[in-house]
Amino acid sequence: MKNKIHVLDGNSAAAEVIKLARVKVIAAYPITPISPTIEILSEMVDSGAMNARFIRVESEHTAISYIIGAQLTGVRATTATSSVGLALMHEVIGVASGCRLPIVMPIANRALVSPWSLWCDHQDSMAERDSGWIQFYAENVQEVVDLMIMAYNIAENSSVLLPVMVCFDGFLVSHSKQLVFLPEQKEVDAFLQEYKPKNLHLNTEKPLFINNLTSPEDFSEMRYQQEIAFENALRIIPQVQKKYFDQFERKYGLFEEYRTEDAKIIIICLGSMAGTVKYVVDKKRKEGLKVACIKITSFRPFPYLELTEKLNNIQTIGVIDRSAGLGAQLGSLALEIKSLININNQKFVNYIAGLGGRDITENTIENIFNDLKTSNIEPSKKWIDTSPNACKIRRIEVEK
Amino acid sequence: MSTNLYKIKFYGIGGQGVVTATNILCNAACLYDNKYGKTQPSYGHERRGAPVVSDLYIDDKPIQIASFIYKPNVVVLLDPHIKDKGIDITEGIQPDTILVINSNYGTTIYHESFKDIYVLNATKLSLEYFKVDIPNIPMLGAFAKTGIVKLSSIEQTIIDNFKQEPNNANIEILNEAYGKTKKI
Amino acid sequence: MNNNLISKSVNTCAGCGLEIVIRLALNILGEKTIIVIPPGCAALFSGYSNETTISVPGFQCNLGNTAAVAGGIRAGLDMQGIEDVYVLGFAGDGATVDIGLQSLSGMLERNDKVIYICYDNEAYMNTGIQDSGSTPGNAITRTTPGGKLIAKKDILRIVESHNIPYIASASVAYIKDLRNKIERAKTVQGTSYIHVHTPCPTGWGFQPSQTIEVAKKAVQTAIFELYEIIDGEKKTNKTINNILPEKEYLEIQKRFKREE
Repeated sequence: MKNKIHVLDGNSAAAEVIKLARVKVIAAYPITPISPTIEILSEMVDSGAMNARFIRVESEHTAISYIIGAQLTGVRATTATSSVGLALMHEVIGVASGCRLPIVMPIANRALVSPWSLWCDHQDSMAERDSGWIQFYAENVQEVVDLMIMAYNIAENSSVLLPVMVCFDGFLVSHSKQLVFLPEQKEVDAFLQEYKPKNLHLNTEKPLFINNLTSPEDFSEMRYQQEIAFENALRIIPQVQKKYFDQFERKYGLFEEYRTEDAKIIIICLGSMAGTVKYVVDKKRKEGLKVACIKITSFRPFPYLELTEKLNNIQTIGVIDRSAGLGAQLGSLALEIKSLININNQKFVNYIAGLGGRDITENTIENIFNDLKTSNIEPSKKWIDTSPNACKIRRIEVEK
Repeated sequence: MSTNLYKIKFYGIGGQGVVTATNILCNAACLYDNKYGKTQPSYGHERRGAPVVSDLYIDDKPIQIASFIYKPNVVVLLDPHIKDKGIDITEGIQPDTILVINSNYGTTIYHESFKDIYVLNATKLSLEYFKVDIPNIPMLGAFAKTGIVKLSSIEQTIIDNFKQEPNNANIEILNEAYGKTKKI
Repeated sequence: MNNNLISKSVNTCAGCGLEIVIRLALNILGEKTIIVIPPGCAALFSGYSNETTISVPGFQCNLGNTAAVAGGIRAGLDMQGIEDVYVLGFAGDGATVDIGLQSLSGMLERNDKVIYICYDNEAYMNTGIQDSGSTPGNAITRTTPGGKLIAKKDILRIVESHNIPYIASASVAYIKDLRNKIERAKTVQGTSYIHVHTPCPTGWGFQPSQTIEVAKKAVQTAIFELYEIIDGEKKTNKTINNILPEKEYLEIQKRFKREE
């Protein structure tokens, strides 16, 4: 086994990688459940373990603004956030992607208000899925480590130059202590090159005015460049993953297939629930059912070509979304998947589950597999773990 | 299902060190027993004195499952009076589920429900050693009696965790707890 | 002006007070300056598409985060040991006293080494003259058609409460004084905040040729006071012996005249 064994939760893993990546400026605002990440970073800076500037700023809006300013001068800069913190950043996160700043930001996924929830779902990051950031979803703490290290390499690649959100489930991963292999500093130094700003850089030797008003004649072209960067990322990510495997012996893809070889029924999902799905797949396989799991690691860019090929011969596909996709026919992930399959020949069902911290249990997954065995094509979402009297809770005037 | 997958549920109240106990066990299993561990603590509006539950998986191979534990095969109870607070620790238990319990108080209540019960008056021990009722370390000694995690591994983890503080008392109480734990 | 760091062919409105401030500021601070400008009138200098008017590095931030971005730039420079570069936040009153107040307060609290100049033209001029927190009472704007009912927010007192090493008020009518203040800001180890009263012929309703006159009247009527606070010590820069009646300032601007 490569690297040293540690027991870390998702929050400390994110902090460790930020340290290993030699990030120079950290600006952050506390928010549950990612506050421990910034507490740990502040300790690392205070103790001298990390040569960086740590600033507890007065809002997430300032946190992202501050690190954009810092990164534009030519250093790695970062913040970390969740939920409404990410929502408050919304105005500014497009500046990071538009300015092609390869910032890597860990996100502990947490539901968005209202009503208030401290706990996990994916609406916060799904709301930012078209913001021009690469989005990786980690299943467990090891993936937080690995995806974050790779993220710097991918983001800073000159054919990509896009910021990356590494999303992991609030509490379920952020506060779950797990055995992880953490590379040592010299190994990470060998994997990540020293940061050199490419493209936009605030430097008095080479003055450049960045992010000014842009005419309709140029705007589409600037967006198109970002689109090309995402296409390039589909090519670069596997290259970096290969390089990572060569050095650290842990294998990644744009998505992960679990026992798909002869599968007839498949669940597609992302985040920590994939672990539970795989666990249930093993159980069902023992019962002789040909079930499988595909976990989406890279949601942006979305690996549509490779997935189309994989899903071609699968009879029955269930997609689990951990955000409601209100007003849409399907949840965010299901919309992507549905566009890849032939709805006439393939059975397709979208399940909404695990909102606002509702646990996605073995039972939930078993119910989904059972439902997939029996039910017909569902044109809309199935709220698989919602109580049957949902409309009677609190808002009793709502009828269904 | 893997027969070596332990699903361990810790019950206690805020201030008893429930989450710390699961963290220490997780570290001990991963770092010194060559096993895989995963904690799944549940958080809410925290306050001292409120019931706290913390889940821990231990296995010989990587742990995939990422949810709370509903069918524990080990229950560890730090606050024997938790039943009065409306918490039913027999929820989801299986015929082979074992209980590690602080004090004799609960043994008769839970005698019928659990296959084996490991008993230690951890509160008494904690009061003797520290003059406060923080039973988590002695309860780890009691837990070691189950053989799921080695006593020496727990001891080493405690030494790692409390580097800054004099920890002789912690090690002593751990070992005394182990010796005094009775299986019934 | 000796070093032309801003192109001569910029079109602000005729008589624009802000143009005087930005040209002077960059003239004094020189090439080793990074400027941060939010959307607003000053963004005319950021340029358009492939062109810019400014020959120092610059960044057009969002309306509410000038101070945050400027602070971040300073942190990035610090971490590279770059000490000989000025970071200039250059924002209007709306971006300073309203939407940017939170990030300004954060920067002031941290005492980031940034020179922050607020050109106060007393309304959202670039979006077509809507009132801001800095619009004086009774002034007519597109959003206060009957005259503003609320008094002007005293941003200088808010800034003062943060105890930064250098605070100054200034006016485009007193260039030498403004020049001295920017020069002093260069020497400050921490945040300097300079608030410049900047008449706007378009928004206030006076002839472009009257910009300096209007600015001067604001000082002479004691409506706008020129002072600086150096390490907590307040110093009045312009003592007015014969304070003119306020109407001499108010009556030369259409914004204070309600049409009957």
